[in-house]
Amino acid sequence: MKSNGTVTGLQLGALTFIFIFSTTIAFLIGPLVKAASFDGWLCILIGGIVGTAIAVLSIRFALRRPNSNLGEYGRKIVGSPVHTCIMLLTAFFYLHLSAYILREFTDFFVPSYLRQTPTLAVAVLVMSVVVALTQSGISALFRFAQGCFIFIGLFFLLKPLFFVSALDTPIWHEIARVHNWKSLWTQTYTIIPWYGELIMLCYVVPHFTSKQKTSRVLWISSMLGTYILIVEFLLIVLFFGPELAGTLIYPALDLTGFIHFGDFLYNLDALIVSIWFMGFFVKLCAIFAIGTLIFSEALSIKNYQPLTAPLAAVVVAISIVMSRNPEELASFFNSSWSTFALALESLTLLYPLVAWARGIRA
Amino acid sequence: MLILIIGFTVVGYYQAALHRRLKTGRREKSLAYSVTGLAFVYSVLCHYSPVWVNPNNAIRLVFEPLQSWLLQN
Repeated sequence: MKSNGTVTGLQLGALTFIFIFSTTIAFLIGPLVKAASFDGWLCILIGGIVGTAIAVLSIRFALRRPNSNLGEYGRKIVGSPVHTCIMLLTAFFYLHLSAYILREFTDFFVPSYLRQTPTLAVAVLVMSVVVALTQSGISALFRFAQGCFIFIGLFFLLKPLFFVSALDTPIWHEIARVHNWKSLWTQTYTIIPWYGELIMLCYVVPHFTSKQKTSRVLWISSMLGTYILIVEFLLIVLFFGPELAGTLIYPALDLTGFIHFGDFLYNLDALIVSIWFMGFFVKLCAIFAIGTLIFSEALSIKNYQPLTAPLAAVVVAISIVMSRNPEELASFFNSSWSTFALALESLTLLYPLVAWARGIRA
Repeated sequence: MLILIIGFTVVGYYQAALHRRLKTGRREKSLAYSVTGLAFVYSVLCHYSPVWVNPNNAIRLVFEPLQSWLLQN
């Protein structure tokens, strides 16, 4: 897949910004409050910095050959069999991640808004739209992210204004110190791979127009996303208190239930979930599109489009069978997902390591 | 099962249309149809024995001890 370099810095930043907090805000903050209580904001900050650093390291290597695809020239660095293995494992990781996100979404959305609708039907409908956007190409995906960025960014920047009264509380004193170093380490370890997922961008480097600014754009947008996450975390802890927030499954959604425009608009749930859904959709599309792209490059297929529909079917199938209930999914996430994700994300770091050991220059 | 067959028939037709539009070569066509075939087999297995084809079991088997050791749980 040769590129024309059509993705601008703003589009890259928009996608990264949405990517960082869209699913995290809905699915990670609840368990984080429960496990780390007041220390959660520090876990997000440290995890964000370390995860982004890992991603930027790989992307900087890919930027050494700005007009070539790592998925194509990687075989010259590590050899064809190793390269194919890395690509297939990485593709599996991103397709599995798509299935995981899809499953989290159906577990959240079906009981809340589409009661008695079969999960399979919702999953198939969502993935059909994802396939349609993926068919349009990587550049279209970034343009779509740029469009959504204005709505999503503006909403989450304005959201704290609705909770100004909740900010005047003595809980701030507890937030300012570390309570449990072990839970800080455990939760930070869990968050690092959420940011490390950004490594996928090194497979689409030729699409970027402003290659020199890529690292800076990534850092700024990633830290902006982290800022939104930390603000949301603090609002949840300050508004509900850590004990109540820890018992809520989706505290961010419950928090939005308290946003009112006087008597004019009393319940904004539907609007807010729609805005959040755009962010979720951008992330799912990005992960699925790049997973499909990597899979097609592993098989040396020039056009990835014919593979999107069958791989979407596999993603739906995995999302259905991966757990019997949300508790089993959460147990899988807590027990092994982070190490699995970090291990497969680190595979991309083999390219710069082998290139350095063999003295291969750009 | 019927839904699965209908779904994959639609996927097959869509794929054929894409191949015509993109003018793909014979190798790419055969690889893409093989992937569709494998996806169909996987979906059938998911229907009949979901526990056996659940990738999370394998992931847990490999990474759970490692994570438990790293986090000292």
